[in-house]
Amino acid sequence: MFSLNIYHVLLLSVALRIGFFIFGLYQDKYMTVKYTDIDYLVFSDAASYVQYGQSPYQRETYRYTPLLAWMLVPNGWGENWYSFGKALFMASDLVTGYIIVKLLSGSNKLSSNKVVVLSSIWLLNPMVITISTRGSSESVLTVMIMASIYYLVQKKNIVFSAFWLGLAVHFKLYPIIYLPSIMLYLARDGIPFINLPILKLVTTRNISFLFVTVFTIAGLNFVMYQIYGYEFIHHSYIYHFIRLDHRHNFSVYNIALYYKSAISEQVQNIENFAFIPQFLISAVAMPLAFAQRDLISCFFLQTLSFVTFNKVMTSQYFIWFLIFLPHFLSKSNLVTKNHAVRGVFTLLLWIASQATWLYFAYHLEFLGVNTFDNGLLYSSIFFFLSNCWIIGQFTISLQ
Amino acid sequence: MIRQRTTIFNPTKTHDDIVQNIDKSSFSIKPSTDKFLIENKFTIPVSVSDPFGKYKRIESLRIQTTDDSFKEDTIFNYRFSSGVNIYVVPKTVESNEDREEFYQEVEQLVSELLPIEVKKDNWIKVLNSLHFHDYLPRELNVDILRLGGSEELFKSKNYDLFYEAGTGVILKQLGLAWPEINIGLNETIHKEIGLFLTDEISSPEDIVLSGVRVIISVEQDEENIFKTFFHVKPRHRYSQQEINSHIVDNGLHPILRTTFHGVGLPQDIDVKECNLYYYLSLNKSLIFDIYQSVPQGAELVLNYGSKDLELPEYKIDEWGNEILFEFSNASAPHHIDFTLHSRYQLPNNESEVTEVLNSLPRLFYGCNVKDDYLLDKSPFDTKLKYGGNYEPYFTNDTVFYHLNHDDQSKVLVHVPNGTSSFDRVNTISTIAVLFGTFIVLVQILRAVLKTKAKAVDVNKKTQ
Repeated sequence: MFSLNIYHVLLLSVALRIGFFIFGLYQDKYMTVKYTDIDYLVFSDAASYVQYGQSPYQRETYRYTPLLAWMLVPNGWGENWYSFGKALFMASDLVTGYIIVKLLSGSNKLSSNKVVVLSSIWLLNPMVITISTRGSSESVLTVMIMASIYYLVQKKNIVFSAFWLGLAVHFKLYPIIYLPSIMLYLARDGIPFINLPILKLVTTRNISFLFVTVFTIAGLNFVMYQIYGYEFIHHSYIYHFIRLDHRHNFSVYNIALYYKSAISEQVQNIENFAFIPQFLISAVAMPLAFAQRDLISCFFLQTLSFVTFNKVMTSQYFIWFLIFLPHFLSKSNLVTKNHAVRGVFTLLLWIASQATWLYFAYHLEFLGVNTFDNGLLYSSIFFFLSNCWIIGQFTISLQ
Repeated sequence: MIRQRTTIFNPTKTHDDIVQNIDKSSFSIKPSTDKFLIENKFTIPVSVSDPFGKYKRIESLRIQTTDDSFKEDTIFNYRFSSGVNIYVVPKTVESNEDREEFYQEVEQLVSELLPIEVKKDNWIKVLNSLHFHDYLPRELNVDILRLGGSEELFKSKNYDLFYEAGTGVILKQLGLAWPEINIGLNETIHKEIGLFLTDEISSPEDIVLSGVRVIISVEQDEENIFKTFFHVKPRHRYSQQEINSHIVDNGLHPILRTTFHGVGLPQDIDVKECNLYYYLSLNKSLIFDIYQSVPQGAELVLNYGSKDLELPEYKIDEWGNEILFEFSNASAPHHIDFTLHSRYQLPNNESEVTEVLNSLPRLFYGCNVKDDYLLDKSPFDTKLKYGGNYEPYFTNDTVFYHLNHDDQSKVLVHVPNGTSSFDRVNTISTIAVLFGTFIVLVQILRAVLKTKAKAVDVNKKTQ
């Protein structure tokens, strides 16, 4: 009987991506609703500005590091090159999957069947494939994060790991939440400078890691600032702190933000304090509870919490924690026979709560039905509380 | 002395039985149909009166308003975006104080003339002036012009006011000459009245007007009645094609669809080459995404106004955008789909949707013509230094063949808006966040305690 091995999964994952990509070309050409993500057009436009020696920030709504625009310069080399970026994102997506496979096979002593099944969660996941083939750049970031983990956990190479994390933080700010976990993780085996409670957590290993990460971030930011000036700082970083994202998205804060944006006077509301539960859980509580126990599972829980409590949440953000899901499930009892019902319920709850929100969002976005107050508000809360419950289940499911 | 030129256009083939009386001090007509048009043009030179003289920072102001009620008019051509269109040009601005003073003056002047308030940030910069548009046509308050109590002045939503510092004010207004017109002597106004019809020898590119001119003025000496016959080469003409524009509902991404009935490429003998153009004054509630929404087959010629693609309507200061597309293929396509995006609207607990009304797009063939020097010789030519929506973007030898909308055409977008209050939503969200935080923290604590318990068990077993 034919059974899938990891090479089959990898081949199938390549074939699926090519298939989705070709279908996307067809849909873009012949259908009213386009396959290609709006962001891909933004990246491409920004890249064409770069190609002609201009700033990528001349493109409205380009709010990323210039590195991304640089990477996509070939998009502007002619019609046949326009999909270069998508190819790059698909390749990054596959590299991420490959690192997931390496990590699963390297450290967990899992059977090859389990590696096949777990890695398929990423490699054969239609959501992951759709996101990269539509032209979202998240997979470039996931490569950086997974590379950092790979060098840290498997290769024990602090410098390379720290470099990749620094690059990831430069690319998008949120991976900075992994730093506290890594500091704690490295404190486990390092030699402390001072052997006193708490202070003994400061070791040569984690200080070296911190130094290289900060140096990488600072170096890249310095170079970009030299080239693009304040607009780089504003669009890449400041904007994300000051934005009032009023357009509907999964975030529990979203409808409150819409109402807040509509009042002229300055008021204190829950959104002003949003960072407190977000950082308390994702950057403090989770690292303290899990970093030394299982670093990658800790990353998973941190990222899931970070996204759940974020002021903006779109489905692309799910990619951020999906990269860790295969590893996490290898350590969770939710996939064991004894807890299978709870595991299935958790999955169904996540899907159902998300589908509820999508139902109301679709009615607003494409049918013009007013669903702000009784649909989106309560469904975003339902999704948020479901996520919180799921995070709770995940935390106690770690074996 | 203020000069008044009143032109009455007779759409029939004869003047017989129209004129009731003509003499040195009066002129009366009784139109045979309700299709007669009348245009008053008042010229107020600064030497006579300078009603805008107190505004020291304003170089020029033009207000053009139409309610599109004269679609069949071939002579006077009030062919701009339906609603109020204001253009203003400052005198030399040397400092921020000058700039602020200019905007204050403009705000005050506009509020004297119209029941609208135009703040500094509401203007958009266009080719050579600042521009404001409002889709709702409004009557002009002419009191400020001190027109000497002209009896012919009427209330109108079709007018064109032009002011230039040092020169004066010109006000034109268009209306129906019905049921009768009686014009008498006014000691402060020099009146020149014309009654014309299009002569049989006319063609669309060469209109010959014939009729009578009458001068009624205290300055007029002997002869005051003149038979008149003159030629006009119109800048604005009409295509035989009729179009319909309406919104195709598509949630927050409404499509402005324009469909064409019949074919009507300009065929006049003076026409050299033509392109189809699409001009739109777009309300700030609607977003034009220059990167994705240029209609198929079109090229974006200009887009003035707000470039922000995300902000809600209430965060945008400018009135909207001025957009012009050119279609490379001269013949009109079967239809044009222009995809827009709705900005979020202010919450309103009285209505679930905000109605956004927008002016209809102006579609026209822009054509180069022979003998173009005759265009601006027409006494009815509308092209001036400033204003005219699309006019300043075309060279002087361009004529515009307009495609008229049918009566069903309308650009009305329904945008859903929140109906609750900030306090309620904030309270509900806060409770949810606190509850969610509690769930997670409790479970983390449980997980930590479970791990510690396990570790204690393991220690006990190993001991």
